[in-house]
Amino acid sequence: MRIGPVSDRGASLEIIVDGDPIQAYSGETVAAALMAAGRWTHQIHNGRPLAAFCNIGVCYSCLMTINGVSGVRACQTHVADGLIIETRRLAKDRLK
Amino acid sequence: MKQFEAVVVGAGPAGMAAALELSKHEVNTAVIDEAEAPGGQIYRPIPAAFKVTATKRMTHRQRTGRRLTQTFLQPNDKLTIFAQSAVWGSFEPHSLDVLQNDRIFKLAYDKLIICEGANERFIPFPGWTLPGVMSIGGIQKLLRHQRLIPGKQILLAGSGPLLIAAAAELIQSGANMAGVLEAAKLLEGLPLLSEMFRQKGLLGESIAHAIPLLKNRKLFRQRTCIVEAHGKDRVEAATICQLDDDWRPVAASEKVVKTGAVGIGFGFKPGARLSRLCGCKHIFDSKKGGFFPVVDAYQAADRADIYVAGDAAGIGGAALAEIQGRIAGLHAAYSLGRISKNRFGSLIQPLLNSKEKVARYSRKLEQIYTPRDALYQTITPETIICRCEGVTAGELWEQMGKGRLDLTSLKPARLGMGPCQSRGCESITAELLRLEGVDPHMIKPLGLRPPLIPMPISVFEKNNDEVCG
Amino acid sequence: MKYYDSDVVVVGAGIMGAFTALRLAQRKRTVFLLDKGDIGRESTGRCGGGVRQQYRDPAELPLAMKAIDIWAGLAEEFGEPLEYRRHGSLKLLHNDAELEEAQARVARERESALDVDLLTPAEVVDFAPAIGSDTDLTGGTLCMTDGTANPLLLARALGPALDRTGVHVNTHEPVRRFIEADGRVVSAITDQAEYRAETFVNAAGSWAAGLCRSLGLDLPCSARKSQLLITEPLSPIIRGFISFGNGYIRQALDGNLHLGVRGLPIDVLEKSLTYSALIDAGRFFPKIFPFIRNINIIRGFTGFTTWSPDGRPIIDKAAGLDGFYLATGFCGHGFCLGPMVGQLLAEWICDGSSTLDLSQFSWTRFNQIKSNAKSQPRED
Repeated sequence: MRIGPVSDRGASLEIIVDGDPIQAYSGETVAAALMAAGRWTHQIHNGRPLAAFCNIGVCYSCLMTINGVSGVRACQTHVADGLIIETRRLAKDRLK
Repeated sequence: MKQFEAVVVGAGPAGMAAALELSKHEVNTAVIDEAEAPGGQIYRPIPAAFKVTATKRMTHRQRTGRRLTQTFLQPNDKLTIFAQSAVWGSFEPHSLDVLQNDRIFKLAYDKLIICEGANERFIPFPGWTLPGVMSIGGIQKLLRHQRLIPGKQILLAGSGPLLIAAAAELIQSGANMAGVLEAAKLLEGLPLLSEMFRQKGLLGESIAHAIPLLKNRKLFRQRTCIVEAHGKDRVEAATICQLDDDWRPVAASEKVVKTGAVGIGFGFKPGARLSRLCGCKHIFDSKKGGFFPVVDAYQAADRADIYVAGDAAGIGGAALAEIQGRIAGLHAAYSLGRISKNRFGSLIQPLLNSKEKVARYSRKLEQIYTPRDALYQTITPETIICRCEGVTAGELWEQMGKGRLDLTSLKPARLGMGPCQSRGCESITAELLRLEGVDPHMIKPLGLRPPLIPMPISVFEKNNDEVCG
Repeated sequence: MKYYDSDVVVVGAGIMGAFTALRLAQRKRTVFLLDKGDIGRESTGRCGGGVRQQYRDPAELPLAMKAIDIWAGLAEEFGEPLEYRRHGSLKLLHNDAELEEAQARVARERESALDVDLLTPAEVVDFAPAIGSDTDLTGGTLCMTDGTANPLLLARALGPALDRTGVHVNTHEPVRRFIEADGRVVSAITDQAEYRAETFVNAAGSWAAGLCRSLGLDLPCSARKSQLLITEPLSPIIRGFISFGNGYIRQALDGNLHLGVRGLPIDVLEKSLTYSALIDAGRFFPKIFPFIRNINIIRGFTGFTTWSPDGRPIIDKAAGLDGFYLATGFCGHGFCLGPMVGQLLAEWICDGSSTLDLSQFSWTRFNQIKSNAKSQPRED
């Protein structure tokens, strides 16, 4: 949950997450904005849900498809008005 | 190719200090940093779009960081800063390949100072890859820089000063804490007291962190750890467990705690990416967190003209990083002929003395908070080791059982084949090898080749006017 | 100096040497397999992974067609997964000259009963929708019994298989030279020992020529550096092994795309990835596979390929020197052939002849003569 007065944040804006409009604030990362909105899955990798872990851009658990580009780190990407974000789904047929 | 006498990679305390020292001695210096603004992780400023309302008095650390950062940002014709820039390769000797937005270019250097910082160290357990389980540093960063508490209840578990600092900040921010679990015993931290007096601000900071925890004593448990995280798509609960004096989980003491977010971490390990790409020698040492570059008293690596300073050379915190940065910068300036031998001698000695003084603290931290071997029992065969590819400890142990006892032989099991390029799994797998009986001196890191970071093919499509070969 | 005696010494534990050793041991010969490094860690473990019959030198086709039958049973034989799949190989044609050449080639290959088809550009895009529909193509050739396997898994599986068959494998023991006496090769020398045998097989790939020099034999092969770039894992998007003028692409079972860029002729055997490889990836792949521009390259690696002057391998006994066989010069497409080459060499050594004619792979077609050392690729 966000703490502190809303006026402390940047300007309010709207991002689109899996088709849903979500409110966010300028200066926030995509990962933070999603967490604040209760959206805790950033990618589904062969059935495993993954989300931001290190938050400094080294673990690559927060990869999402942003504006059509796959494999973008949500924790390193800042929100922008109209940014289109999709949960990245990776289904590989892994032979056992 | 842009040519500089010195290139510094990383604008945290070590990098900023190195760059300032170099420019002070008239060395034409470039600094490369991935973030929009300097500060590294520890001095990272809040987003420019956020406003700062009246806050409490700055701590000594914050004042130090602000002073260093402001000095660094002053106009300086010997300093060229490449922000939002990442080193992705080094294809020719004495040069680096840099990515800035979607442009790639090369920088040539006479001297290179690598200040790539550190990453946190973890000991996996079943369920640790569930959404909602994060690194302690990651939670701290969300709190400080995004003003976000990531969940209704937060459980922190691990060991070391970061655990306490993050817990204190969360409590003060009004977070609902499910617990703060320290694997070590409080009293084991006593030897640190004497070192705290040697570093300005450290004692005050430690007291400031201790107070919120003392006020919420019930939350704090020593000799306790997490052994499992539960949940379907997100963490909902955790099994916690007491530890004996060898840090071995005591099965009979397991207890389930409801929680919406978990923070884990056992200190840090050196970044060791660029230093490896450049061919510097590295040694594996669990006390140092994993692989670290071998440097001499002047932070010089075994590769000519390359230095490593700050947490990248071995974890020591911001104050030590700044001193090491200055040492590296000073020695580099001396090697470039900017200072006479006598002058160098008189300038370097006080720095070396400071370094020795401050380094004692980090050496004691290593002794007290390095995870003891028995704690690795939280890793079960089903526990995921490679987060990216889902490779489990059981799969790795099966390969080790077949005599594959080095990191390279484990690659066919998909270890390190995902987008994080083995950043997440390499050190922990090296620990598993050590626990299987492999001599740490024989544990070699995976060979690193460019690209050092994932590179979109579009970058090469756009930038192919500069073709070689 | 220690010495060892055996029936056969095979130098080079890549796919050629390993299968030769395996089949010899299965025929009750005592075999030493020596390598300067680990099993399958050079060309074999670093190749593109194509297991392909079409678009080869015509002489290779019978070997390739038999080889894929062996491939079909390898995972079971080794008891380890190899990710061998027959999901096709597709060669793209970029202009009329290539189309004409392909028409002739397909006709010839079909005469040998290979199931290869000539496709129109629309059919190409049908098979591989990832190819941009406005790509400039004149067609493609598709062979659905072709496919891919995982080179790292194959390299890994060879070790236990060799142990089970009783081959004596000594890794990390480079052979420095061979010794001849009375018109035959009598031993192979390493720093640790002298290996004496009736028969020697030089399957040392890019290092084979250097070893031949120790016998005064000229092996007119040259080395190239092959470079492969690997992307992050993706959901299935590329089927089969697709090759085009300036590279090839396949998708591993775990989702990573493997992009093979143009090989580079080299004088020195060193394995650093070149900047040009990445530029090539950007220059050539998005034009054909538009989706790929937004995909990240996460790693790359290189390997060496050994090229004969006419692009056809050399699988032969030395002329004028007894007890010395050679299998090299596979020009970057030996992965499919390996299991069959091993079998044929074992037959030749044991029976005096092989079940497939190897005369087209002779060494003497290059006027093989004993000569003094000349400049050859050095290892760094």
